[in-house]
Amino acid sequence: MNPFEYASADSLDDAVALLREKKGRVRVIAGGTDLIPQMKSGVAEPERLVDLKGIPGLDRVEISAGGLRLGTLVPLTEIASHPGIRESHAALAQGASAAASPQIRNAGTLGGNLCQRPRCWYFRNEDFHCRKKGGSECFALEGENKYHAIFGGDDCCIVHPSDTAPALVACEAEATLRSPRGERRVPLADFFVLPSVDVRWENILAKDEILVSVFAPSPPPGTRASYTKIRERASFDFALASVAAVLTFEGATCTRARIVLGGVAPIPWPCPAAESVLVGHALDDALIAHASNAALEGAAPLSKNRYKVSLTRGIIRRALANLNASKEGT
Amino acid sequence: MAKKTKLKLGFPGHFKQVAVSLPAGDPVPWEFDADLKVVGKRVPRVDGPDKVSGKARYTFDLRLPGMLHAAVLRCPHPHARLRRIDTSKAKAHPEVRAVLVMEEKEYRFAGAEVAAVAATTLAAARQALGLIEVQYEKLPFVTDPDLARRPGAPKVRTEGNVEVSLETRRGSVETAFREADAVVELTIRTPVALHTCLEGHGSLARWEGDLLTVWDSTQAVFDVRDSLARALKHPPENVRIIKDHAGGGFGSKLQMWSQTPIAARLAKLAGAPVRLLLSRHEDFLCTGNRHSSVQTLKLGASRDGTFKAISWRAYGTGGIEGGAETSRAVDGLYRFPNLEVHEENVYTHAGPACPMRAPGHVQGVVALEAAIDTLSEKLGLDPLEVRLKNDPSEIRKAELSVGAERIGWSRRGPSGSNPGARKRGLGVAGTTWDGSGLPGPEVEVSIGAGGEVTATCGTQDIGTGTRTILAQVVAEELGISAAEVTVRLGDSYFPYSILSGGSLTAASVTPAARAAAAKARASLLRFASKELGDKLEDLECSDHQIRVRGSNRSLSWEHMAQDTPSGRLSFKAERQGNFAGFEPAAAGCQFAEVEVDTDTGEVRVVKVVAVHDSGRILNPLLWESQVNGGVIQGISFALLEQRVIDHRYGTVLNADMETYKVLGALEVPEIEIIPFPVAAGFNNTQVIGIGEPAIIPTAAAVANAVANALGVRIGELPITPDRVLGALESHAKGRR
Repeated sequence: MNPFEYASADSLDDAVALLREKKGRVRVIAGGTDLIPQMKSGVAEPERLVDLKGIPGLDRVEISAGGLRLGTLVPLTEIASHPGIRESHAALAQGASAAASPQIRNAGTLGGNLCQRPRCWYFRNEDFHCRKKGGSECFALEGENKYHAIFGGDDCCIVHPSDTAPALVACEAEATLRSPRGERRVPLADFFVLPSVDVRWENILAKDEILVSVFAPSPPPGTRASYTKIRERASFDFALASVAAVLTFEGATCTRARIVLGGVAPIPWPCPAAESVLVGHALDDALIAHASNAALEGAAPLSKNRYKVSLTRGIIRRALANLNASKEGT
Repeated sequence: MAKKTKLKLGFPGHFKQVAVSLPAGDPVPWEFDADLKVVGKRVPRVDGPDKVSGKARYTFDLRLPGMLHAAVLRCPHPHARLRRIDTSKAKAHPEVRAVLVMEEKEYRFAGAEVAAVAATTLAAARQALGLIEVQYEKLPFVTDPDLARRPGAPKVRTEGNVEVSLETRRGSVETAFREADAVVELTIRTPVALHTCLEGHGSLARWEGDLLTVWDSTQAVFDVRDSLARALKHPPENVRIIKDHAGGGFGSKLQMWSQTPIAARLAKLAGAPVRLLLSRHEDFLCTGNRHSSVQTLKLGASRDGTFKAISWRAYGTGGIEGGAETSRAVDGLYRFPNLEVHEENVYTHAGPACPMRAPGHVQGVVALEAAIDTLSEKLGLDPLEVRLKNDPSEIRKAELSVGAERIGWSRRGPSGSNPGARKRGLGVAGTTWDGSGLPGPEVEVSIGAGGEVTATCGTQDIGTGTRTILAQVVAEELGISAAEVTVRLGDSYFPYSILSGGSLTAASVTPAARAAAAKARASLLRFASKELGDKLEDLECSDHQIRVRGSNRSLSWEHMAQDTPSGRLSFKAERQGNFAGFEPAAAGCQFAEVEVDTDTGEVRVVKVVAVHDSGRILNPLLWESQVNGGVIQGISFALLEQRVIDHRYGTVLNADMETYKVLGALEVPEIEIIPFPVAAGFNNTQVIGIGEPAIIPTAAAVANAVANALGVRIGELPITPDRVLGALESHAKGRR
């Protein structure tokens, strides 16, 4: 690990100013559960760390009639166990509880979970100067790609590792960002970018910009949601594939559907084709099968991750069937 | 003079009188149902409080005044030659005290040592590595054993990459296969696995004049002493190796690895103690692994399931090391009148293999038990019945019956017959392992001027509880409690012992401890008899004194110790050779129940029933802990663990604890442990080791349970979701 400067910010203005001074060589830190290992393995070599923990209010959970606002510093454990969040945004609570291990969920924050770097073992290995690190090759494309993308990974086939991101995108959440140029709000779906847009970074944050909070609107009545994650090791693992599903029912009819996949693409991967199969219909096994097939259309598996196609199809089917069975009046 | 006697050996229902010739001076083994006060009891680990309170010091905890920290520069290429190295900038670093360039200038795996630095801080040592200028000549390499077998593959050693490691023939397999009613053939692959000890490998070396002391993470202080003395051309009597506490070894600490001589050399150069602790990454690359295997088994039987012949053709890679063997698992497990073995070790440009908990057996039993299930299926027989028919061990047959009852074997349906996406399956596998011990270890039992009892032996407690069982055996003999015995071990300046591996320690060391304690007891009785004027048979040894039965006269040990010139009574005994026993090795079997999700490929082990014998169980708490650990490590091997190399570059991709996946708490199933005590013979405590037997059948039982659930055999470990879904897909295609 290289020597670095540590600065503790006491306000957002302070933080973005501290970020600005050493362009690009500065990273924000909160829980540090991802950043510190990156620094130890030489993947990240910041000259300065700006600690956000001293900024008041960033760890707040606010629930109003309009929705749920989560500060960037809210620990994953709190999201996972918060009764209000479990009630209003079940997929998010389930996603947070499926992330990492209890120790990491205690230290790790929402902001960190959304902004963590990919787990790709070529990216994380000093010996490989891959595209994400400014090199010219994605070593996984024709290499050991069992854990890699089946969607959107033409240039760099990482998968987005977050468990809260697919859930929040499925909840149509909005992110608030802050930089010296002021504040901006973007749909969380647009926060994440494909390698074809920016191969070096997984989101739109500028080098001097901070994710401040996330707002998830209250779902309409009759909404049911879940997050399903499949991993090799339940005790602590990233997703082989996951699905956040948010369905709204009026009577037996599905009036609104959001299906977002994790672990299969460089970004939380929305499935509009599957969603449109469901909307306007009462769900049955055939329709659910149709939707899960539609979700996997266009999948481009690599040499060692073909299994992700049937795995993902299987968990979408299971998630939809379970939500359909749990809807009111059934 | 050896003493001839008859011992009642066996287990309830199967006792027999066996004529044995006991080693001279050795105590007679305790009877099977002897009323023992300390041995056989659930005595908590004597060093447990030290371990949980942090008082127990491991190599990684040690610091000496003026100590320097070392770091190693490693070759990033799987095969390279040193072209040029310039260490002048590193030497000029203000905090650097010594720089060492290795003698070997050709590197045969990514991670091989090139140079090392000792500095006042670890950060400075690592920084200085970056100042070493080095140029490599990259050489052709091969890390994939299948490629390494091909003619024209880059050579790992001049003699060629393939070496026949084992070749055996018994009878005629060709004739037997022709005459068999059913023959099956299958290929099973197992990966390279890593030992993953909680405590990694590290050394702290200090020179005081010519005396070199090394605190080393090892399972074998005497072997490391000899290896280090040879490496440094230094007299072994001037080398002292200390290992007070160890955080596991599993075979990866049986031999000296490079960190030990590097620390010693740097310490000499710098004139200060040097500590070299490997990171987890380095540990995973350089300090051993379990060799892989590709085993093709052909098994033939008659209609009633009696085995006629087995053909065992296998190869595996241990990187730059030899030793890939799997077929030794068949010996004693089942009867094969005709047998043919051909095994090859394939050298590759990867980190060296070394023994890992039940070397060869874990892999071999997976293949053998898979073949038996496949054959049973073909014959339409219950695989348990087939095993019982071919098992030569009375003990294991009894264990199989007990285990079958506990897992509910009668519920087992035909393979793949479970409806729905979540399918249950049952599997079974057996083990045989000779952990009856070796002669050689010496134990000294002393009684100090305060009456305190100390047992001293250079053996190692690698986490199995050696300290505790030594205390128990000595306490039993002397009539005191285990807590009243101080055990000192893990030091090559103590009386000799063998390495702690191969399930040998308990059976090799406790008999010497018992013999020494028995000597102490006899001597105390003689002394007291003389002093008190009472007959020996009227005296008893307990409560730190010799008492005269039926009177209040007694003589304290304290008194007797003080009466000697040194103020201390000391007795030493050596472990003698094995004598006759009941069955040549520990048997054992395990049953597994699994649930496989055919939508997601997830495998969950629901329950394991482990039935094991290991002679006398000295301490059920420790014994159960060994079995739990074996089962957990076995499931981990079955479902998760595999080292992944990108063969295009020869680089290990998962040399870390995130991506080299070891079973976690949530994956541990219900484990029901059933002890099967046996009067085994062999040595005076009648102990047989349990370390290896506990892991041998687990992965095989799990793999068989998965095959039973699915009706499809996953031919490669670990059984991960991608393999389950892949196998189901090809199976479905094959049917269409």
